[in-house]
Amino acid sequence: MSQSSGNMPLVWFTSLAIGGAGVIASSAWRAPSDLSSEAVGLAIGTIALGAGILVSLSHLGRKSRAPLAVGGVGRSALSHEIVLAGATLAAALALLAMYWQGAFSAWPRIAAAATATLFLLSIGRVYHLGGQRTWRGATVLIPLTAGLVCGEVFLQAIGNASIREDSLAYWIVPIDALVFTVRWWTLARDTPPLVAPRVDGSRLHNLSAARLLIFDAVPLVLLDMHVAGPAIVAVALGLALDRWLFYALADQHTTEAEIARVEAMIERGSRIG
Amino acid sequence: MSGAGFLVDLHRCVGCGSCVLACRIENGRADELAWRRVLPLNLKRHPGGPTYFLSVACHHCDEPACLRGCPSRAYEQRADGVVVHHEDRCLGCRYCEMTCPFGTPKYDERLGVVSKCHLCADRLDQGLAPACVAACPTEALRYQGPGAAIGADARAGVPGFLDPAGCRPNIRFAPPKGARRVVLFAALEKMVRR
Amino acid sequence: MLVTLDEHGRIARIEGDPSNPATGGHVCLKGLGYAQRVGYRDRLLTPMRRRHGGGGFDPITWDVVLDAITERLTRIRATNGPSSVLYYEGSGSHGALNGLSMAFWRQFGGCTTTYGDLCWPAGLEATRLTYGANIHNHPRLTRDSRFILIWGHNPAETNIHQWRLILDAQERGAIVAVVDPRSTDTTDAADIHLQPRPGTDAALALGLARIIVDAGLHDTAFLGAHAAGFEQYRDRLADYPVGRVADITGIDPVAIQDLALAYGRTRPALLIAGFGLQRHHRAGQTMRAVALLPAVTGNVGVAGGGWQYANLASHCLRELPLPQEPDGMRAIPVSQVARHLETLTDPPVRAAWIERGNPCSQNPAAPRVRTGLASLDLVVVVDQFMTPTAECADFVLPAKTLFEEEDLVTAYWHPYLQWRAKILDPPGEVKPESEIWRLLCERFGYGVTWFPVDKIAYLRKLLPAGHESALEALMERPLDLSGRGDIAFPDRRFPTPSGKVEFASEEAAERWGVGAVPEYTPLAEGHSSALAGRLPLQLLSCKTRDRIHSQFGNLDWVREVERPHVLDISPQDGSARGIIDGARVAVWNDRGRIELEARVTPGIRPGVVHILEGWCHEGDPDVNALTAEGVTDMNHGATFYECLVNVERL
Repeated sequence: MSQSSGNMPLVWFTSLAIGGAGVIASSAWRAPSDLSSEAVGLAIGTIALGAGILVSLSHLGRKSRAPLAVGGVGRSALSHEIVLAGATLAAALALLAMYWQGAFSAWPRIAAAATATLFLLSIGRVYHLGGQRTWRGATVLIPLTAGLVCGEVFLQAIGNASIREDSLAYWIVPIDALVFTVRWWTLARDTPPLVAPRVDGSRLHNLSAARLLIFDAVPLVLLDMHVAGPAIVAVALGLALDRWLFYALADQHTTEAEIARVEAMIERGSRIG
Repeated sequence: MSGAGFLVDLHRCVGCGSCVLACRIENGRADELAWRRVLPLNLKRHPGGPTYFLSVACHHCDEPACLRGCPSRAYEQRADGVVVHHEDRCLGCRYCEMTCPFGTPKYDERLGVVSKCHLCADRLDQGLAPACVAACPTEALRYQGPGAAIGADARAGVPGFLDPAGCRPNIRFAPPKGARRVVLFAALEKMVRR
Repeated sequence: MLVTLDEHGRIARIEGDPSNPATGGHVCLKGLGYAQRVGYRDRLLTPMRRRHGGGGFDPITWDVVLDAITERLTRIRATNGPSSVLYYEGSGSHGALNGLSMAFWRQFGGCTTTYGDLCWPAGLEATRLTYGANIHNHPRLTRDSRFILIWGHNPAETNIHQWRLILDAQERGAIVAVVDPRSTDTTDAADIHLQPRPGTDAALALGLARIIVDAGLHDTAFLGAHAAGFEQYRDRLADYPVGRVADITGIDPVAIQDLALAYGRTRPALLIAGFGLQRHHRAGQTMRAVALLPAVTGNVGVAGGGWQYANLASHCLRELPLPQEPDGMRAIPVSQVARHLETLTDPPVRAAWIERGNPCSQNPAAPRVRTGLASLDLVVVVDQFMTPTAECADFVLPAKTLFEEEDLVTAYWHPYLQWRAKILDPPGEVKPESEIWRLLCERFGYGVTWFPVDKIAYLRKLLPAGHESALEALMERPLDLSGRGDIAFPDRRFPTPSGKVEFASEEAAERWGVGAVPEYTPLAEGHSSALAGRLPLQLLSCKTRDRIHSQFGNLDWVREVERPHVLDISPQDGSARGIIDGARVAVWNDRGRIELEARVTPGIRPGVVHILEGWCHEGDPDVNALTAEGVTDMNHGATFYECLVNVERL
């Protein structure tokens, strides 16, 4: 894996994609009641997801070959994610067009919501890799839970509704917080100690606590106080922090890292023995 | 070992790097990142463990993570097991850099694509050994053809080399010898397994 | 080497030559490195002239540079005489044509050259005094050894082809024992490793002999028939009981005992000594003491046995035809260049011409060589790159690489003479040295008949008598023209004064003023000297496989794989000075001071520190700021490893 400075495009891309798809999913899962909110959600989500896709293109070494990326369908998790990104974008636009024309049939709406949800899941799958010790387990679900948190908070905020009026938001934030905490606890428990270059020990705890606070707790409080704008800002910042932390914790297995681990054992073993 | 790959004799390898240079020359990679690297273990010669060198390039795995994950199917595996990367299908997305647990594929900023060892497939097809193997002055690095029988003591993993992702790399290691190092190696294997 | 060129004439492949029976088709890191070296971006392609005032050099033409050199040399000779010019040639490039430089200097009226050698001369003389000749068994017989004792030598780094054969022998059950104060790639693989204090090897060798003789493991039949002076030697052994030897060397007496008995009992046993063993004042006597061990056990003249140090069997070429030697020739010891630049008179040195060497980095007291050159009226350096020596020059002339001129090359580990083909034209304005000398002779109006017009015909005439027709065969494969078989001294007849192995050598006493029988004498700058109270660490500056001394180290490819230029220091010596791994330290003695990074390594013997020699790039440690301009007890060698220092944390 490239050094952290090369991660920033990935942080931007996945923040925009998760946030955007999450808003699309939340908007599409709701039976249209507060149409203006759902339409705004679809539009904003589409823009965010579209921006994220553009950012991910900029990360490619050979941008003109981007269309080849769908070639791995059936085998490559990354191909699936790319296809689902495009499908989510297309479905969101189609849904927007339908709403504009006043058509509200259920199946297209549910299909769009399901596509966006599957896309969120597929992001987690892309990073579920045998050579990445710190990217396994609960972390696979976080794009889904975090995306839906973004979606619910966003829709609540622009709809100026309080949290108790929608049962999905009531559940999804605690679920996301729980999933994240499980991941945090797993990382902290792991021995040997993490060798992630930029995040270790107390920094992990500080940043994880900050993420829970900024992403899960603060937006709920702000929504309760009917402070919409800051709630959206908090959830956006929290998502970016979540993604930054995710990549910063990358512990790519390489033979070099394995050798360093064994050398540390040799020196420790000699001190004891 | 079911596919074509390498055998590294940890007793004979002295970490000289001739294999690295030979690969550079053969593949015209004078200024780019090298496809092969030689990694020392315990070069400070701490008495708590042996000292040896791992010369690694690509392991042409039975279950190559690069191939499975590549969105544009730029990787292909030959019948003999050699995993070849087709540069003309590469997007430069660098996903294989993440999926490979061995640090094999290398991205070239200038070219915008990755590349890796292809076991000198052209040379193999002419009945020649890979360039790195031919250059090894102590005959520590050997080529193993598909299904080749190898020594009973050759191991799939040694302290410092692990397959964490079930890729089943086609590399084997003959353990180091010498009355002193044998003891240190056995103790280290035990410590690592614990 | 076999070199393949691509359609643009660039090197596409370098492989070993399978027709060389010693290297068997194998190549090494340096051989492969030529692929980058020949066309490297920093390679000098034109003559260069130092800029006045500021730093740096400007490219100039051959006409301009040769005119300028001619003018200055003429003036200097007129004022001070021809021997005010120092002609220094190193061993950076081998070939018979190197000798053509003398076609100029002899017509010039002479010059000051060097005698002795920085590498191996004490050991050569010790071997010659003991066995009569520097020859040894063919490398392929290494595989037949059952016990290989490697002493002061690191073949895993400095003779990798030999190391392959040693590994083969070990795979067939041979025991490998190594005597070296450091831990190296060689000692990693060894079955036995002893780490004596540097400079105490003579005591160890005599101590081992004492144990062998006491145990009755010496070959009385061999000694009775083929040894001269054994009784005197045996008397000497009485001074080396294992307790005393253990005290002197710092090695556990049980380990000394075990090694002696193992070496004495296992046949055939091979003893390979390295140049590292003889880089101090007591080099010759030390080498004699060690060289006698194979004779003590009768491991001479047998396959898989013997004493192996250097093999000069391929040094069979005839002398080059040259002008007569004039009166103005003078020579200084090569290990004392700085001192003589500073103090030589009648006449003093006023100019220097340096080729195929890098004395400003590689010679003892290198910083004083640099300042010595700075005070001269003319310095000309011939090299492929801007080395530290070239940086001191007024004029730098671009040198060829080995592919750019044909020649005949000898060896020092196997008996093969080799043909060096010309496969590339010198690039840019590069000219081979033979051409430079011819042009200079023309400028001076000297005879140029000494220079070959047809190099192949010329080189053919250098082949030994009766072998002139071998040149065509040589172009196909290396040849052994010595007429000897694989085994050295198979008939146990030795070209010494006595015709036997000389345990006591009158010639040694007469020629060099050393004891007829070898003994251990503590080094003047050794672990037990008074100086060690103030400077308690012995500094070794050994050679690495990554380079040939200071060659190849500037190449990116080599820098990627090379070992670091750090100070190796033991944990005991490090913690006593508050030095942790990776810390910057200063290393100093009365001769100089340098700063570099420390590596705390348990592998090195306490009391010993080490820095790799071979200064190639900015920031490398200038280890020869610390070494002394000593001369060995015989044959004018250098004393790099007799060097006390102290180390402090920065």
